[in-house]
Amino acid sequence: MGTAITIKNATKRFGSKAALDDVSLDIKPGEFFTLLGPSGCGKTTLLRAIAGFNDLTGGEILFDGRDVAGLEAWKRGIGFVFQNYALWPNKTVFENIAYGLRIRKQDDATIKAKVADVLAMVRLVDVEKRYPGEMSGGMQQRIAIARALVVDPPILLLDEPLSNLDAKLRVSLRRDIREIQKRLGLTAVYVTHDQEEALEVSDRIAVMSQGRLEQVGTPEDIYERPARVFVADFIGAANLIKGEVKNGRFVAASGGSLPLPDKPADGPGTLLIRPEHVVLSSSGGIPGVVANHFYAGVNRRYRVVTEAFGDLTIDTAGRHDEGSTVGVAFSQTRLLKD
Amino acid sequence: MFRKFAAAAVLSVGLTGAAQAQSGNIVFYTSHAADTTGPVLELMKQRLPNLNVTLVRAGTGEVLQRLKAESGNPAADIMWGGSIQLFEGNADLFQPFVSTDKDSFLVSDPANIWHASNIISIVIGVNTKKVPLGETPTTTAQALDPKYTAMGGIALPDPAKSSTGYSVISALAAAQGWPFIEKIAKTARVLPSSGGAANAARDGETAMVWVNEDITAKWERDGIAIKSVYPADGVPTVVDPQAIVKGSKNLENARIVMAFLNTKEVHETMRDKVNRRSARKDVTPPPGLPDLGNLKLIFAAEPASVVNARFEALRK
Amino acid sequence: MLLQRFFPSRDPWKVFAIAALLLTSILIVVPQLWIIIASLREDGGRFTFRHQEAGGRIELAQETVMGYRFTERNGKLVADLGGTGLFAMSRAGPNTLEFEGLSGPLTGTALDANRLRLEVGGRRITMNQTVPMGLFGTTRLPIAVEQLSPTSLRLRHGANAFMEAIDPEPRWTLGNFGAFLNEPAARTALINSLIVTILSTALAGVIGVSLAWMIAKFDIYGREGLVVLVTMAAVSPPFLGAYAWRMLLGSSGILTQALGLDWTIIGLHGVIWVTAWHVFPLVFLLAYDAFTGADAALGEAAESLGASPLRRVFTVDLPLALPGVLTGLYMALIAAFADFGTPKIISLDLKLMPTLVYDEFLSEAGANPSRASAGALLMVLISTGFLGAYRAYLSFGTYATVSARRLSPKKPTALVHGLILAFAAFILLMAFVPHVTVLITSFMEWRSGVVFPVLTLANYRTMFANELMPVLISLSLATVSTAASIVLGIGIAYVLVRKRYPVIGPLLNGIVMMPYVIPGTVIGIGLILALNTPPLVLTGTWAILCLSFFIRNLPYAVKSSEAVLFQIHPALEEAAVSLGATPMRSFMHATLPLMASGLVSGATLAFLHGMTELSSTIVLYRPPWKPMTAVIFENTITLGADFGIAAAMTVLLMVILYGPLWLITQKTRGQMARVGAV
Repeated sequence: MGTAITIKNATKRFGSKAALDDVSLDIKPGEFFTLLGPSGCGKTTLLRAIAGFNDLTGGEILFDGRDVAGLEAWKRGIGFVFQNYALWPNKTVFENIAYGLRIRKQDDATIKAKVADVLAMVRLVDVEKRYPGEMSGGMQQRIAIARALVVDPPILLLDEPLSNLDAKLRVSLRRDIREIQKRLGLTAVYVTHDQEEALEVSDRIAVMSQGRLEQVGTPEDIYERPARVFVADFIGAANLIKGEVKNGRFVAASGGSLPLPDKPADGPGTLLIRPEHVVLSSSGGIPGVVANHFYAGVNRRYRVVTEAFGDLTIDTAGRHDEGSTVGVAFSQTRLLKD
Repeated sequence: MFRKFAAAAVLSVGLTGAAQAQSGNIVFYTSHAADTTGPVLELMKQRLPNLNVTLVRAGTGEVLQRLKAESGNPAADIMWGGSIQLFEGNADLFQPFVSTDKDSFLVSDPANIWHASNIISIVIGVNTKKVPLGETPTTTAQALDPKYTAMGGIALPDPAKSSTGYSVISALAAAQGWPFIEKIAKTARVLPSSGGAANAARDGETAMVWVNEDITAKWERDGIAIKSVYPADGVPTVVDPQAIVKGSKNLENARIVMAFLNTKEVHETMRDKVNRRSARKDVTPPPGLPDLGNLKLIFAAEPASVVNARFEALRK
Repeated sequence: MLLQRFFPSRDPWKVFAIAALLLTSILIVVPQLWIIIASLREDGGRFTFRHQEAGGRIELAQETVMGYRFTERNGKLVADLGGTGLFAMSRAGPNTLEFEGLSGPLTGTALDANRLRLEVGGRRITMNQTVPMGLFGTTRLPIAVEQLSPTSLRLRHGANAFMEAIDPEPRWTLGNFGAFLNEPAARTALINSLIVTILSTALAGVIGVSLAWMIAKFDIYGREGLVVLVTMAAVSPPFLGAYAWRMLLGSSGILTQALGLDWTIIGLHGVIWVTAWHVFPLVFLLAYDAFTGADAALGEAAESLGASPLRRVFTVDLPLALPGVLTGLYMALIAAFADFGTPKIISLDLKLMPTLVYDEFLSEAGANPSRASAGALLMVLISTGFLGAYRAYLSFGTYATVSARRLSPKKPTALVHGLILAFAAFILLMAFVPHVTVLITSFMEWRSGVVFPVLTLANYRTMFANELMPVLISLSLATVSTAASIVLGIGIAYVLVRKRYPVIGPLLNGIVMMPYVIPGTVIGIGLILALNTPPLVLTGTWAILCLSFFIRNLPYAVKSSEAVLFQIHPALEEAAVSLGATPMRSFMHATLPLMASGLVSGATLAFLHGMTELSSTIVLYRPPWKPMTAVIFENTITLGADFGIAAAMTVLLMVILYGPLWLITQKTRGQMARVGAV
């Protein structure tokens, strides 16, 4: 069973710059938790603090309620998977994986059995005697995961483990990672800047920006109910229209206005409309002109210029020629007030 | 080999216990050339076979400087070679040794610090390839003639660093006065060591050099283009002594070696093998060196501090 | 652990960093402070006078007076220190002087037959009587002191005695620097040194850069072999070149006589020539790396834009390679400036800074560690100036290029190929003239320091019979100092690269790099000054030589370790930590094994430095700890020494140097020199 990780008011400063600014989180045992954000947002700093590789300037990290501040990294018993695999090039695959067991002074037979198990888990066969340098990036990362898992860590930390791999490999490996994590029931904290990856594998996601937590929630929460403009913009494609709320209506800066269902208070706000929540028809609704379109497989993506709401990105299966006049309607909107 | 290495280790740490006579270590600091010390050391190997001898060779000044630097914790047991003025000027670096044979010597130290070994005349060694035969100078004054500058000039071991250099300048100053030394200061090429100076004349880098007579005599025998000139206007002559270093770690051995160095046998060996005049009355001069009676001998008078300071002032 | 109590830190690396900082401060900074102190000190005063019987006068030797001032008043000689009259001397009869205190009591004690201690006004003056004597000298009276009153005494002394007085109580002064800069000899030495440094570096630059460019650009026959040979030339024994060139082209040199020339290599021109050949390999190796490392596409772009080949060289190839070339030139410059062996043998009566400082430090009556220290500091300053200029220039406009595609050498035309081969052959010939000369003459008979054309093995027999200790000493010194500098170097580099502790890190880096600009002679002098007094007396031991080699190698060890560390990702170690290894264990398991192969070249370089070290050895060595270079040196320059032994030992040294070097260069060519880049 995994370990619960609690982070209270974590702060990390490098000089005057705050890499982490008062971050608090509760990660449940057995949860696949993702720290998502652009580079420099503090997600890796937080992950490394959980691992014990860096100290915090302030705040606490607790494993199952126990403060780990005094606990050195090598005593925390976490598994860590690095972006660049960090396999020891001078050791065979077997010795790489066996390292943690040797540190724990396990006997050779146990080591052999456990290495075989964990290799099977990451779906590699007959690689024990090879050296990491002879293998593909995907295989190396599987070995790195095996090396982290072989010591049965209650927590697995993954620092952008897939970012050095090509697109197809990324998809299959992330599914394998999630499957293994669920099977072993360990707590995983996963750092990535790839929102699609985060949405697919995570139980919950924490979106971070400039050292601060923007939002924590399930993938659905994050995507469909973003709390802030930053989150809405960072996750998926979004039309973000600036304007204000007046008498229960949203009035865009460019002039258009819409009724809002739940009658919010007056004040400035931004309206989020996902591209797939825009309906295009040849007539009716908000008039606009198709500026250009891209074919994207299942859907087509259009850029439509409207007078009322400016440029809109729209995903739909229907066909509209460039330059043609269309009518635009919104099937779902969300008001963001930050 | 390794035993020697280990012995050296013990020596340098200073763990040699009560020195045992005639065995163990003896360390010489010497300004003598290897071929000067060689025959005596050979003889010593026979007479005192159990002594492990170490020799440090450097210019007199360097040797003395090292003795000063190490005073209190000396590495040396015996300083071999220099000039009596130098030994007297640094009497606190040495310790007295009472020789039983003092009366056999032409000259001896009332304070028993230094013990005379040789009497050496300093000649002008002339490179015959550089100086045409007819133009060989016969006096020091002639040797300073500007015409020799073009041939390479005359090399002088720095009086501040070599006892040969000091002896030359001090004796010439006493005999001919400081204005004469001024000419030397402006003419001579001053080299840091007597070895370097002599080698320079031998190799023809300079035309002439002030050098101990035994060296040039040996070179002449070895067929090197060098001629010894005993200047008619005065031949600087020195007494070459040795002394026991104060605080010697192998004092017992040092006394034995010092007594050995004073023996007639050693002095005869020096005469026969390295052509040196003995300071003992009962040892005849070596063949080939002119009789001292026929030379105008001159001696150092002013001490090194005065000579060096004046000479340095004149060179500016 | 005791250390933990003093350094309440659970980071063992921090404890190590602090310990390393302490150690390097003691070994590197403290000796330099001693030099500074020594350069600011002077004896309280000295003077020499003579009491002449004839005329009954006290003659003061004005040139010897230091610190004190003398005036004659009422027939008395009044000694004056710092403006106040201290005592007066006057004649009180034959061989008798009277001393009278002018500012309080004056007492005197006879220390022995020739020495007197005078105490007056808080000063203690030692007087040493010297009585001139000829061959059949006069007997001398021992000195005798009779205290007349608390403020006066009567001294009886030998007839016509000189009295040399020293007041050893030090005083503080900037005068040593003034004396150093005012003295013509010192000024000339400074100018000579600068001339030699600049011209020989320039010559080495022309030779090294042009050869490097040619063989980087063209596919030349035997290219790799050539690079290996130049690498070998880079670690020649010191002053080997100087002596060999002197033997060949001196006034009565072998070639001079064979060709009937009337010339000599002795002189400034010789120093420049020999030094240039001594340092050119540094320039070559770094320039070669720079030329081959540059991205080929940049040069091709220039040519595609219509630049002529020559224009391309000056507008693209050279500027791109500039940082590497400059580093090579800088290293050559520092080496040329600090070289002791070459000027000692070639310059004869011309002084250069290293020889002047050495001579000042190890001279007798002029015994002037203070002035030597002032000169030493001046050398460090100039050296630091070179470093500053080099760094300023590099930071002023560097082009960091990461090589995308390496330059693939072009096939030259037959004519060009021939010309380049001839040029390379000429350079190799010049670089190896000394080696060949010494090899040949080591098998010939030496008499009175002159070689005779008689083949013999006698030199080797003598050497193996008498001089094997130095081989052991050199090997042990080089091995131990290399091991120590590499071990500490790895640790320091780790702390500098990975830990980046505030304050400790930059401080440690600064201290460790100091020996890089301190000439060897100066390091030697500093160690003697610092380690000649209790609590730690190491002068004259194997340990002090080892310390010096260790200090001199430390910057190279740290820099090469840093270079290796930069290539090893920190995550390799973190992976081990996450699996439960302690920091030390993770370092040992993950990082160290990967560093080892990269450090072989650094260690080899350090070992070779140790085997060939001369400039600090020459000040530091004492019997019985005499390394090979000291034996070679002694047998090269002292009168009547057996140069045969020097030649045989040089050959032995070359065997010891080139055996391992050859093996290493097969694998890691180029790293050797790059390691030195700061």
